[in-house]
Amino acid sequence: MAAASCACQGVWMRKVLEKLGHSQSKCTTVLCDNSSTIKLSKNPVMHGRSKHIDVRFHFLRDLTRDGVVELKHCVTQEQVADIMTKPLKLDVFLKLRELMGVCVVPRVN
Amino acid sequence: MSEESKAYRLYDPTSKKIVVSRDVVFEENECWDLGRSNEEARIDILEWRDSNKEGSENDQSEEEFEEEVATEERREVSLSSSESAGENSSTSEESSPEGRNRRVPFWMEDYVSGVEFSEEVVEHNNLVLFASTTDPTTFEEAIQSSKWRAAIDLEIEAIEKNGTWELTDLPKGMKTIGVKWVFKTELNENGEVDKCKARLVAKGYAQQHGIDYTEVFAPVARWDTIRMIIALAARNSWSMYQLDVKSAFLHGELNEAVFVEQPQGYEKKGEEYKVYKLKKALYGLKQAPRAWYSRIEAYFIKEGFERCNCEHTLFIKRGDGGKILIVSLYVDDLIFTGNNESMFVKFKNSMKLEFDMTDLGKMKYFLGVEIFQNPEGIYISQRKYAKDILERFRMEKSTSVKNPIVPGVRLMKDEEGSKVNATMYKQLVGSLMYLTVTRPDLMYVVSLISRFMTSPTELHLQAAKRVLRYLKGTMDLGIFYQKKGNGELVAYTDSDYAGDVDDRKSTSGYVFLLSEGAVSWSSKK
Repeated sequence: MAAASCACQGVWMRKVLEKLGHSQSKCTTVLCDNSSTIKLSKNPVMHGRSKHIDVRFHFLRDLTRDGVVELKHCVTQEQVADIMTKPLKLDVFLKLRELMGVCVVPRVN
Repeated sequence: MSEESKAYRLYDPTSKKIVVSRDVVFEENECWDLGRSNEEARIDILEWRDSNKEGSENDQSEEEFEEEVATEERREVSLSSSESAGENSSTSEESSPEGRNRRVPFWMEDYVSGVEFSEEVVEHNNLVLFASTTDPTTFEEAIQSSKWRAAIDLEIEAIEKNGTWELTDLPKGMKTIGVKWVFKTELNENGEVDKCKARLVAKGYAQQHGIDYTEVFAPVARWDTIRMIIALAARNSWSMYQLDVKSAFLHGELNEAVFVEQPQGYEKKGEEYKVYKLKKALYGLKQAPRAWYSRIEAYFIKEGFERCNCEHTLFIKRGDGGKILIVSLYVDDLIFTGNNESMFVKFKNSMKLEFDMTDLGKMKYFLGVEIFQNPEGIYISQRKYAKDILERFRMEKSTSVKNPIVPGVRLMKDEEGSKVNATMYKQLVGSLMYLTVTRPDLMYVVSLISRFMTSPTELHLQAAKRVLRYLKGTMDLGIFYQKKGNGELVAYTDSDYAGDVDDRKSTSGYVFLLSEGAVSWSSKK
């Protein structure tokens, strides 16, 4: 579900960037730490557990097929989006914060 | 009472109120004894506090220190008192059994109550309060002083010059809309008086849908877009510039027939019964933002800009040889960037001809966000805004913490907990919400605490205060978009599996990175 809403935003951002003259030649990588989501997006098998998945999700599958987004697996340690979903331990929090480019004023040399 | 005050604190046992007064007649009976015993108890507590304070932090003022120490104990002590004081602000809190030294609660700061008057800190705050509210509220008040008269004349002149209205008779069946003067002293960044401004506003609340206005929607730029432009500019080492349209809404042209009264003090002699028919918008009209947007949109199209279909406030002009000019519109603020200096100059000049503009030069301060540009990248932060929030909620002297929320904690609805002032809580959440513009690290916790806005309790306020204390230590943080790094959009997405204890809904979040910085993020239940 999260991946699907993320993909929607991704599509919008690609459009804006294209207008800005910075079109993305390759497909946008969406990193996700849920491997079964990724498998489902690549391989549309019907499964007892995936029966109730919303129509929204199928939109993501279309996008994957068309090469607009690509779902990739990423290890939990580098999952930047964790900072948006759970209260993290201090060291992880600081690390992810840095990965997002949040820092103090860089001194101009 | 306190060192400064010579008044006596009197305790009324029947109404359970404390009254401070110097008008005291001493009688040798139980009344006197009661006040006396209260006072003694109080002194004991004070002494205990002082000895405790020596060991820890000396640099903090007593008021602030207490807040730290007393946050835990206050919960038990003032379970009932916080509620009663919140509702009935003119009376003081009920006296707590220990006779605890009292701190001025947040919700009391707008009021002047007898008890708190004698305390030094409040006295100071009140002085500040009185000094900052010198703007006149009515026309009669303003007309007394020459500087406001000049400001009013200036505004009328601007309106007349602009061709905003014409004097007509009121057609039958039409209603007029009242107008009102609003006065404001503008301060510059050093807090000195910059200029006095008088603004004529229409009483938009009297407008009726379908008669005076039809559509009111006007698009504004999304922060995602603005950050994307900044990230892109950083990557290409473009400079960003900023323009400001003076009295922007006065430029908007009206399609509807709107009639307003003649402004107070400027009625035309002998024609007092006539009304003004508006040709252009006035501030306060419901459709003013929309009128302005259509006006400037038409201008951009005329100038050969292309409007972005998926973001209506983004306009792009392409020249030959890959030249590009990107303009983003945020109501009356314009930011623009591109790769060709001559296009900038041409654009600025043509804008100046069309509207009354202020050229703010390189983008430094935009909607409360500070921007630093250098060849290695662009840095955005809201340091001043963060500082203002801390001061507003009186947390500027709190001890800082390293993370905004206790790891692993799950906030939930707290129906039994003691309620706190919901208005204050909402203001706090609202202020923090705007801070997430440059602080993705706060996004999760702010959206978490905002879920409890309907009935916040002590538990939630504690969490919110922790965010403020985290903010205290990290005021200088912002996002740095670097020139190096890949220009590809990378997204991360995650969801916690049914993380909400109350209704088992999941929180899903995503972060988009571009030019080594986050450009778009969300955290949603």
